[in-house]
Amino acid sequence: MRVAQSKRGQSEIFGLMIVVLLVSLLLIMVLTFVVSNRGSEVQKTYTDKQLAINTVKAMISTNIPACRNVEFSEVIKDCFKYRELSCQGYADSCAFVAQESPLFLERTIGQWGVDYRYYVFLKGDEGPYESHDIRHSNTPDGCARAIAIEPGEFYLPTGAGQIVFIRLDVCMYDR
Amino acid sequence: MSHSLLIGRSIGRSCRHSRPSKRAQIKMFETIGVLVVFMIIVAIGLQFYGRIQQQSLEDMKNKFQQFDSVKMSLLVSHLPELICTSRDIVEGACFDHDKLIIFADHEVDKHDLYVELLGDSVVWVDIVYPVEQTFVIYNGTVGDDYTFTLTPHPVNIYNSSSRTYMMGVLYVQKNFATVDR
Repeated sequence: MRVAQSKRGQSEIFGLMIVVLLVSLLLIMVLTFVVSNRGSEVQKTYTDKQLAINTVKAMISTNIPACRNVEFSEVIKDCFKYRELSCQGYADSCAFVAQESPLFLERTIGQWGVDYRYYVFLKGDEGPYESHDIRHSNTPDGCARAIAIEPGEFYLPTGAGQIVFIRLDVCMYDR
Repeated sequence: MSHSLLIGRSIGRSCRHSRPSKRAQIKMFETIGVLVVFMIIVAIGLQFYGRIQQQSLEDMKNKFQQFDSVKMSLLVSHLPELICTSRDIVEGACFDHDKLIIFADHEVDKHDLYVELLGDSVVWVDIVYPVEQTFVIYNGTVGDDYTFTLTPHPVNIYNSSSRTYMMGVLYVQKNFATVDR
């Protein structure tokens, strides 16, 4: 009698094990599906990777009618060098760069709903910001919540032995 | 042997026969129950698998559409009809302002020539600095039922008369019909 009961118990445990195994397999499948179901982001990856660098490149190559039609890169260099360049309607080249840079960005990546932060400073001055350093971001936290950042960087030699560093970071919240 | 005794024996036999029959019936019901539950589990599994397959097909379709969109954007940004050249040397990410004006003016006339190349897409260039201006390069919108992917590409616009560069954006909107064919 006891032997029969023990055998039945064994077979029930075996059955239970199979059920647990099946449920586990099903759960693994569901989890794999949920985790891998992020969709394809080919176009987003392509645009995000190119966006920062292309935007900065196009921006610094643009000629500025208000500043004697020189390129924007020249205006930036002047701001960090002698501040000799006069820009119509602005106190000096630094005022122009500080006020017009956000306009460039807002009419392009800002308009597409992309969060970014933008810096212009002398290389080596990454520490406390100088008065002529330019910082701008369209997010209050400046990409603090972003899980990744796609940077676009350019270096402009001023000719006075200094290098101006331009950096545009595109904030990425998911991949 | 009396008559009543015979009846008693026959009843006893029938009882002995009916017990295993009921147990077998119960076992059969058990087996059927297990089979039904198993079938339900298999059906749920199949449904789930079908959904995964459907989702992966949707993903693949989406991926190819995005590839198409990126390919179109690269193609347009390298069109010899639009790009800047300086002494036959091509400048990257730059469109000639004069070429843009002429191309946009004749967009309707040239439409048929570019259908094979650009298909159901819309291509336009926005100058954003120092002036704001829009040039529609190609308009291949067909019908109202479509989804699209928009690929923006920051570029420079070269004005050869003033020899200056402006800032612009090339937009390539690749349309995909949503109507089932």
